[in-house]
Amino acid sequence: MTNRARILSTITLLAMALVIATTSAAAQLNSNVGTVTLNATLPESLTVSVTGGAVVNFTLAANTAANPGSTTSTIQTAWVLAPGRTKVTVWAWVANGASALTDGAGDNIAASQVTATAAGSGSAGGALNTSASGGAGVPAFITPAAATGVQIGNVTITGANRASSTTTTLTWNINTTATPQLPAATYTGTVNIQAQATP
Amino acid sequence: MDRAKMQGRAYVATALAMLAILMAAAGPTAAQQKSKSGQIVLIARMPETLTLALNRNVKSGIGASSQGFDYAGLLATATSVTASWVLARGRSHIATWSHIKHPAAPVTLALAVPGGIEPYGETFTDSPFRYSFSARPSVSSRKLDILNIADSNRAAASTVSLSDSIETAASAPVPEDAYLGTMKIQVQVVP
Repeated sequence: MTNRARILSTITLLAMALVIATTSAAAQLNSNVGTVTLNATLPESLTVSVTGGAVVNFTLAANTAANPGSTTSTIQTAWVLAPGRTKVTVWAWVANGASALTDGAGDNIAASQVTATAAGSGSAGGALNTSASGGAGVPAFITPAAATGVQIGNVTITGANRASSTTTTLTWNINTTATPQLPAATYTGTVNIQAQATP
Repeated sequence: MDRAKMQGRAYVATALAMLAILMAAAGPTAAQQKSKSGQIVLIARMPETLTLALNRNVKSGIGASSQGFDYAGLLATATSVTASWVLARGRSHIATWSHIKHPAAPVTLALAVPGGIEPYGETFTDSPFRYSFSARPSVSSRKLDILNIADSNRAAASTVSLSDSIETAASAPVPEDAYLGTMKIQVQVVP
């Protein structure tokens, strides 16, 4: 009986040890939680590119309204904007409205004589003196005080075009009737193209 | 009481923190976004020009023939000449010239012999002796007009009347031995 009891005890202990060992090995052991923070920033961007007609030539006739440019200019405006922006406007402007083009000898063609007719971006364009520096709704980049320009694009921003682009085509003309005594010469000038997102 | 105060302060602090977060989030759109500027170069050339045009009177009732010959052009009388110009700085004068080219031509010389005494019936009779020589070709020029160029007339026009023009009409046929020359009119800018 004692022997039987010993054998039973031994078997029982073995069984208990087996159960304990099996149970311990089957249960998962989890660590504490480490974290990795992902910060993704999509910055706002607004770019203009003159993709065609960066140089426009004119052959002027004296005292004549229509002196068209040799080519049109193509402007690509692209943006990625944050929520809250409602409008993108594109502007053509010159630093000095009194002398959009000059021969360097004191003879000038004023911005009022140079017309940029716009198509494709929601603005009609017009003479380069349509908007004056500091005027209502005129971007601050149209500076200094003598600078003038014209809006050549106006795109309403919604959730559907928060990252998008627009193409503007400019057709150029110089009217020499305002300066009938303009001397024969070569006149040069630079027109800046710039975009703004508001508000 | 103190606990309530603490809760109130915590609420205010939380509200301020939330406001700050919202302002920070709204920051980028508060400032207007502008692009860099692209540039377009405009080059305008006003060339110098100088043109001349003859103004003429065309006889009325004369037109093209059935064969298309322009009698009106043939019988027109030049009455004036108009010079038009667009000049560069540095030009000071503009002159209109006429040039008449005389070709080589045989000339017959004869002496006119006076007879009688003035005022009592002086007459001239042709000498029986005649000589000939050949006149060399020549060109005579006359300045029809000259204008000073200033800022006020750098692009302008000027018309000069041709008072010595010779009218040619169908009723006055040109004699066979008549000299036919061409007056050339030219305009010149100086310098």
